[in-house]
Amino acid sequence: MSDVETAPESAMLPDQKVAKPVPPAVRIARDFVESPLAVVGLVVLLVIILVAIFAPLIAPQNPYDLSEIRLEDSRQPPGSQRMTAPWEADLVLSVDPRTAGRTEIDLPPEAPVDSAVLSWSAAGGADAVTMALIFDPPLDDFPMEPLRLDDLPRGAELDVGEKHSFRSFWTVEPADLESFTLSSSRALDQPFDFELAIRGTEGEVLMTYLLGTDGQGRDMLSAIMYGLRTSLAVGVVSCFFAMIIGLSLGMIAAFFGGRLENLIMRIVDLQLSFPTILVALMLLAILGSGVEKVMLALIIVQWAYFARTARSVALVERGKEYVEAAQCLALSRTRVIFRHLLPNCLPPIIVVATVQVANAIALEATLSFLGIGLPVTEPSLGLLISNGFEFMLSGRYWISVYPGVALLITIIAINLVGDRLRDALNPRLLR
Amino acid sequence: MTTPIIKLESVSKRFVKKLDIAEKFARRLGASVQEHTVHAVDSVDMEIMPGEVVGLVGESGCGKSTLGRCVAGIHRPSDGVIRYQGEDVMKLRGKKLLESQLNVQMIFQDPMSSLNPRLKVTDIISEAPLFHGLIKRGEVDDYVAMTMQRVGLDPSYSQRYPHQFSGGQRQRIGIARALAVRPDFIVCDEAVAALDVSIQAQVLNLFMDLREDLGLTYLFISHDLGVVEHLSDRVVIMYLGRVVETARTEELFDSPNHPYTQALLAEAPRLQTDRRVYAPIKGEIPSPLHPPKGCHFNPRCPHAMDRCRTEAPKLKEIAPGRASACHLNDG
Repeated sequence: MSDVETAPESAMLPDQKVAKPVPPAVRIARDFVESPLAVVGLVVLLVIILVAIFAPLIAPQNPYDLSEIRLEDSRQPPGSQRMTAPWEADLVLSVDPRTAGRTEIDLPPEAPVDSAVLSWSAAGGADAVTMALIFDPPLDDFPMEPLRLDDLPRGAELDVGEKHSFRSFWTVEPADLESFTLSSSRALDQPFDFELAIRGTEGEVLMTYLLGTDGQGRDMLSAIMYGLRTSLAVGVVSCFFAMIIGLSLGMIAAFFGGRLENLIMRIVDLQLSFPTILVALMLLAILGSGVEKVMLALIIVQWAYFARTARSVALVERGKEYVEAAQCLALSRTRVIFRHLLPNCLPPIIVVATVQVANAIALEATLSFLGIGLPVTEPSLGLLISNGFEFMLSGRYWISVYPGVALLITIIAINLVGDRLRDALNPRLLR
Repeated sequence: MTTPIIKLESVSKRFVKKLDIAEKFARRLGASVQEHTVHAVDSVDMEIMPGEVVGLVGESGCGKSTLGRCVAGIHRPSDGVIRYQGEDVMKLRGKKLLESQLNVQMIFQDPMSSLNPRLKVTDIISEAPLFHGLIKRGEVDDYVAMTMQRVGLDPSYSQRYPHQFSGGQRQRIGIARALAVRPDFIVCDEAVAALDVSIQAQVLNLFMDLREDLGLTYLFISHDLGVVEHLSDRVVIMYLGRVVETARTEELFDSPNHPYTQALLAEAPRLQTDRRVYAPIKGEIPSPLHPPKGCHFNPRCPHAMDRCRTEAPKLKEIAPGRASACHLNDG
């Protein structure tokens, strides 16, 4: 009788038989991508997270490696370049004026010239010698200071270039060296040496400071990448632990009730009645600064939000009949809490967590900006902003503004994602 | 004489709202702040024999659900003794306690909230038997399929989530979950009230089939007199936490004794062609926070006497298997 009578109902819903069950995660994902703004936020956030994770691999410079930082590159505007030291050479050239001759000049390996040949011959008379110094390729395009010829024999003069007004050297254009004459008031009957100094003005481009450099000559782009790493790590880790603590205490309060609940929730009230920044400031004043201390302070100021949310959700879920059913089936208390209550409390908690990560990052930046957050050796975005703050009035905006923009984009992206997640997870908005 | 499967001896359940610190302080200063106590169930005696179907009827808020939850072991009674097969369940420990808990199961009113939305049907049904070692992990699929078939569900739906089922199917899942621990007593708390009428009939028939197949005993809580008349062997009428009348179903519906029962039956909607005027019971059901003195029904009772306002009538046997709590029977 049973089968005959009850069979029709299970067959009554043919649409359910055909339709494949949609797992909740897929439904939430579908809901999420309906908002283009949230998708943009998610993409930006993913990029930021990837940049933060792989900063050591993709950053142009390690901003914490003092050997990579040059003080002379400090406060360079965005787009300026970092050069190698310019090439320079002090050549000693030997000439025997009695005979014609040529010597190949030894050049340092970094020289932009393949070979240089000095040839000379007597220029009629014992008091002059004609010389030619030929560089291959020619030095004309090489950016450099005027060539200097020095230590010429006593009384010698050149027919090219100019002698310094009171010092001994001559400045000569490179093109003029291809043929010049040295004449002397004395007889040139001894071999003599003279010096040729070549000073390049520009080295090769090593890297471009896309976002300029800060007061210590750090590449801002690299500093921002590393700063994001620190900021995100501090935000996520502190939020995670705050969530664990808040969730456990909130659930305990909701499940056991009574005095324990009163105690926990009054502490939460007490904590939430203080401004978070004030509590964090006090804690850091007591604890001192350091990454782990900042995290500890952030955990302490944040757990209360999680505890309050967790308790309210758990109270609602606890009143539902499936919890009574689980009690009726004599399941253990831990099993009821962790397998029945906890999974049903998670969605609102996830939303709070995303928003709290953004808050934690902003709070950490504030603390660092005020100078009591992270140490200088591990600058976060807040510290970078704070470092650049003193340069703002002198027009070097990039030191402060770009980390600020990075912070802004990160927080907006997290909030966009969190907001949409809240809508997607809210069963009341389900169509 | 067989032992009743469930016996309640003056079971009471009170919900007390304790004073908070501010209120305690105010009372110390002389303010008239008092603890709020709700007498949801007020010294109820009841016996349910094996194989019996007892209908528990009453208005909303009369404590019938609370009584059901006490029987099912979800609430601890504030006073009184609940005996399962003659043994006080409060004093049972260990294996016997577990046995008594599992043997008394409950089916809930709201088929949506009574199923954990994050578990698949197979997990909902198999969790408790696995947890208590009634079945082994390897037997889960067969056991779940068998249980689902027993309640008229297609076993191929076992990998689905509750929200993918209709109301009636969800209620069947709830029944399957209760049956999975092999109970012999089931408390049905308004188990069909949330279903539409055609589905109600199917689920009620399922209850009756299961009773025949598995020899179950039911405590059937409802405010629907039609359902109770159709289903039960015996009916218990509750009013504001107290039992006012209990009788075999036919006797009760033929000749109600207590004025409240009479009023209830008179107002039950029926399919009758004559246009009769309904005269609703006068007044609201009094607040269980401040129940009236004497007989709880006296402010609304057409036969109320002075005695009713001072002395609470006891539940007395007025005929074999029949009891009523009314002073009119004394006179």
